Amino acid sequence: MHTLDLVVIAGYVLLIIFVGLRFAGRVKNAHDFFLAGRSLTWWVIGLSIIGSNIDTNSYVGASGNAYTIGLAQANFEWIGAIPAMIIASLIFIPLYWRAGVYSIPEYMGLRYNQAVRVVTALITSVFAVFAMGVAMWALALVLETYLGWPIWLSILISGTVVGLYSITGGLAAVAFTDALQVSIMFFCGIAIVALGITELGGFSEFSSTLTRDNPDHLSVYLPADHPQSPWPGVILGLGIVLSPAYWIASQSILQRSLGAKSQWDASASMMFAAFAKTFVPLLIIFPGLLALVMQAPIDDSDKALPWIIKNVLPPGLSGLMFVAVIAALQSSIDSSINSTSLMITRDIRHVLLKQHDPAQDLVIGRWISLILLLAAMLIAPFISDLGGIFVFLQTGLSLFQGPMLALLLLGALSQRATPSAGLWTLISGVGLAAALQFTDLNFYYIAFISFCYSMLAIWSISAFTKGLSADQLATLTYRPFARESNS
Amino acid sequence: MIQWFQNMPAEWGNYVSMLLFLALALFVWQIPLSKIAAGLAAPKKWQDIRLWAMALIALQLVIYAVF
Repeated sequence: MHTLDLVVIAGYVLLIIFVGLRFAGRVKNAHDFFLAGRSLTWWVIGLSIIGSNIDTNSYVGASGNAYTIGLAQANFEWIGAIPAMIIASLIFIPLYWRAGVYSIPEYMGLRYNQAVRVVTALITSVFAVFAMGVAMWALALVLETYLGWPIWLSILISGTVVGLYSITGGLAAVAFTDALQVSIMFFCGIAIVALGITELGGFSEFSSTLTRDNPDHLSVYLPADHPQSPWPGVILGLGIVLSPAYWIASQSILQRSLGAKSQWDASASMMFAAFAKTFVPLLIIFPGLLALVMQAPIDDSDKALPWIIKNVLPPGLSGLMFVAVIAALQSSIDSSINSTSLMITRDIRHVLLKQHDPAQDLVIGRWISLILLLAAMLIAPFISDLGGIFVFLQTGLSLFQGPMLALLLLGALSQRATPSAGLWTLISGVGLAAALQFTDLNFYYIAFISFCYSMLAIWSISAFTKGLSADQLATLTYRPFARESNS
Repeated sequence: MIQWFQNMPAEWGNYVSMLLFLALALFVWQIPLSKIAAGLAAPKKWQDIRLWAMALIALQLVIYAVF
């Protein structure tokens, strides 16, 4: 690695620690730690949302997938994100904001019951710990590849850096460092596009070369019998179920919006993030296509991005791009630490321990953050031994995202859903999704079927179980077309 | 139903996506401004997030029409 690249990397690490630690002094209580004292402005939150959203899989895996299947991979950023982000911005974020909750499980607890709150918090927390372990392992792999550091040293250093600012500075530190990290990512992504296109002699040359050998690589949809990305599966499973489940129910994504200084800032932050999301394929899809056109001599599609960094970017910029990859990983880990700590501190501890002391939330939240970070660091070295961990995580998510989405949709948009219906649907919906894993149905279709079942189940069970009172429902359901006095 | 979907050509994905975005645009425009700009005393034109959503949807329509 060039000396200039090393200087850039060292400068980045110092800058992130400095920015993160500046917020440590402002954290006086749990409200500051978990919700940044409700002081965040829309554009900081918007950039932070994108930072949390772009993880290892996005950066390295999506470039690799784009190398293999082409532009169809971008559906995760377009139909698989934008509609859900618009709905989250205009309907769900205002609802959560008005309910005054810290977390999505807390909203579920108010709308249904405390059992639903604990179950959703528990499921989400367990998967978050595994996801953090994967992210930490991927970060260590990147450091090992580029700097030659041993895996254990990479995990120790990256964990210490992330821990320093996320445990001391809380959500505000996480949000501001994320915003900085995303700015670096976009700068590097645009540099890759500009330099790559220039080297190939313009966009028309690039597109004609790409489609000459790979006619479907500039098509956003692939045939319905495509094994990896069938278009009906993308629309039904990703667009209608998985994407809304993520954008309206993911605690690590929505927590920063709940820390906004006003309801308008909270809504605007998600809409601004959606604009940024539209251009994310430039960062994570284009490098894969570029590697294909430039006939990169790689044996594994996941090496497309590293090859581009090494062969397209000049010294200094390649260091900055390396920083962008680290930043993508760090911003996902720090967000997961803070949001999982919140769910364990409040949604699990407050419900299960009747003698809890809310004044201790800050201290306990920081300790839990540290424990979560250490757990992720301990799991990380063993991730490669598990082999199919990515498949395991995807399968795990498909188990509960359909039922969770159904609970949120009918809970937020209808007054019919009852607490008992919510709990039984959550349990039976997860059971159905688990049973469907033994069929040969695509992952997208399983999510769609479990979602449809859950919608029907809540609707039916609610017919003969007792619901909340009208007063309770007034602040927990969103009725944009109701008269002012009823809303 | 899944089998029925699997017999349809890939371009139908583009048409279905564009229809979904158009339906979303219609829905968004039905939401009263008062519900969106809650807390703002006198919301300015640029603070109407429905307009942001329209621009976003237009961008997506272009993407799914071109690719």
